[in-house]
Amino acid sequence: MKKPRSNCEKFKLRRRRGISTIIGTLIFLLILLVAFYTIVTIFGYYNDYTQAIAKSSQEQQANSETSVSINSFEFGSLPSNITTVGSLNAPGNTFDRKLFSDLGLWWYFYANGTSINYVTSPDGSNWSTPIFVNSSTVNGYNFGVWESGNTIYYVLAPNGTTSFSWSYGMLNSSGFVSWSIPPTAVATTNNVDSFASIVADTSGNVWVALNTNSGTVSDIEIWEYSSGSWSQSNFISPVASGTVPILVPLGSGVCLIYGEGNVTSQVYVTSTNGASWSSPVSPPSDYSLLSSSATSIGNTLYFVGLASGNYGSASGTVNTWSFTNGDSSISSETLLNGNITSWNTAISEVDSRTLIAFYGTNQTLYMQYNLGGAWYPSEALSEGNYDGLTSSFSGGGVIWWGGTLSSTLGFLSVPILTTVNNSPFAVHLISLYVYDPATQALVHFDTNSTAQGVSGSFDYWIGAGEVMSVPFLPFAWSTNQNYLITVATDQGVLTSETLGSPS
Amino acid sequence: MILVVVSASAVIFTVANNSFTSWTSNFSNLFGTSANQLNEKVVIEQVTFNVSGSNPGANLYVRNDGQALASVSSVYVTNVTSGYAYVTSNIISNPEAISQGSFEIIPVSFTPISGAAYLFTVATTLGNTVTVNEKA
Repeated sequence: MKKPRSNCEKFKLRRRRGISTIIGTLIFLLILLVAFYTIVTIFGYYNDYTQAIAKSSQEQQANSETSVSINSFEFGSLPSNITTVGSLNAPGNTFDRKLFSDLGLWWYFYANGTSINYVTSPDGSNWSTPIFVNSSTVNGYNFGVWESGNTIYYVLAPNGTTSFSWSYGMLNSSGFVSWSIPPTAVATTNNVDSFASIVADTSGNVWVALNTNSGTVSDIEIWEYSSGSWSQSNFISPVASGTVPILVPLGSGVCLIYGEGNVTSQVYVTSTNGASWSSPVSPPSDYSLLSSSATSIGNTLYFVGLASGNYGSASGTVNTWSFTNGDSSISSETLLNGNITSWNTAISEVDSRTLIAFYGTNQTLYMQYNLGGAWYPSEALSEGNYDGLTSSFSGGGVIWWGGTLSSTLGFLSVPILTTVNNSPFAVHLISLYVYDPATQALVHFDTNSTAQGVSGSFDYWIGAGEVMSVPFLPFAWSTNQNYLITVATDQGVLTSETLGSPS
Repeated sequence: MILVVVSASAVIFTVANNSFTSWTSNFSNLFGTSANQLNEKVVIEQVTFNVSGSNPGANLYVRNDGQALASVSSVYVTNVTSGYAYVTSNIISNPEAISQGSFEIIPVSFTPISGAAYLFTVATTLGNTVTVNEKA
């Protein structure tokens, strides 16, 4: 018969079973914990994977809806000498619009005190010999030109006379002008002084502004040609001697900017739709108008000029501001270049959206542009001596003179790419390739502007449904070639267009 | 007895832990690699040819539009005009990583025939491929 266990032995046995159970339970729980952690971790990887699938699907969807097209590409031209004009007085003023592009040609008019002439170029590099218009004693500063819809207008304001002369004609793609009327005199109220400006508004009316004097008092006369006759629209008196008038057409009516020319002074802005002129308004800074320029987009005037906080300065910074017809004040000023020196400035518009400011002094010509928002940093275009410069009202052409050039004019035009975003969202463009398959030459602009082979920066956001025109630094290209222009987005969407270079 | 239980438990836990670790690693490789493949995006933005000169061939401008580094491991070239005849392949022994948003110029040496169309296939180290047709 088996001897029964004592109570002590039973206790020891139960204690050994309890400890083992606890240990086993703990290990089991530990294994469960590890298993749970493993499941969570695996689920995390799976979640990442499904998110990657979803993201990839979204990107594919977005890419399928991305639609960017290349509207146009202007090849521009490298700096070159275009013609010798006979005197440094021949080119004219920074705000003049004697340079323009029409019918596939660049045109440039000048007056050298002996005659009025013009030159043309199909590509900005090869220019015609000067073409004679007529004999005249005027110089560039009292000779104004305006081009609108294949029609060229000009005004002559000989110093000391009591009339201005005007003429107009039709431009021809062969580079010649068919003049409709000979220079025709229009009597002024007072004696003609120094400066003349001419524009045509969107209604086809022609406007002339010139500074005159009664012998003791200086004034500005504004004349309008409408319905076949001239009438004086405005007479501003008194003004300072040597006051410069600058006319600028708006979407409706015209705008006049006036102030002293050679030194900084208060400038005034007034506008009209034809009935009456608005009360003049002024920007905070003083400007030297012979170193300034203005263009317009719609009913808004855009100005760039040599600015100073003081009257009577020949040096200053480069500032810009705008004025919209109907507003009671001018916009705040934006500083484009804070170096104080004797800048010459000009401004152009491109495709009614982009503004290009050109400014230079005795060493470097700069370009700075605005695509509808903030101004981009300036870029050096050319090295030289820029005693004077002027640009086209529209487009990317600029002419300069001075220094070692003497009376020889220099010219360049900046390449301009115009793209359209037909996507329902904004698109980020990060790369531009301009490739000539015939010569295997490639020009590459990229968001990585310092990468191998990259000629300059290219990094722009274009909004949904927007058109964007971007200027670039000029580069060498071959005439009469079919170039492949390719633009890439940051999502890998490519848009290409084959475009022929000028002949 | 306790010693036996502890020993057995340790063995069981070690085996279990190793198994779980192995599963985790496998799933990490499976899903992680697949996710990386999906997130990778390389684009051939431009191809230029050197038909004549001392270094005939083509230059491929390849950009990484993905979320992480990408490396091109090889480039294959076929002549489309000649019925996709094999031309050359460039196996890159030390693939250079392309940063997100950056591009790399990858040269391929062969003798292009002017006027012929070529198919370029670029493969990455993750196994993604991208192709482009260009005419020399």
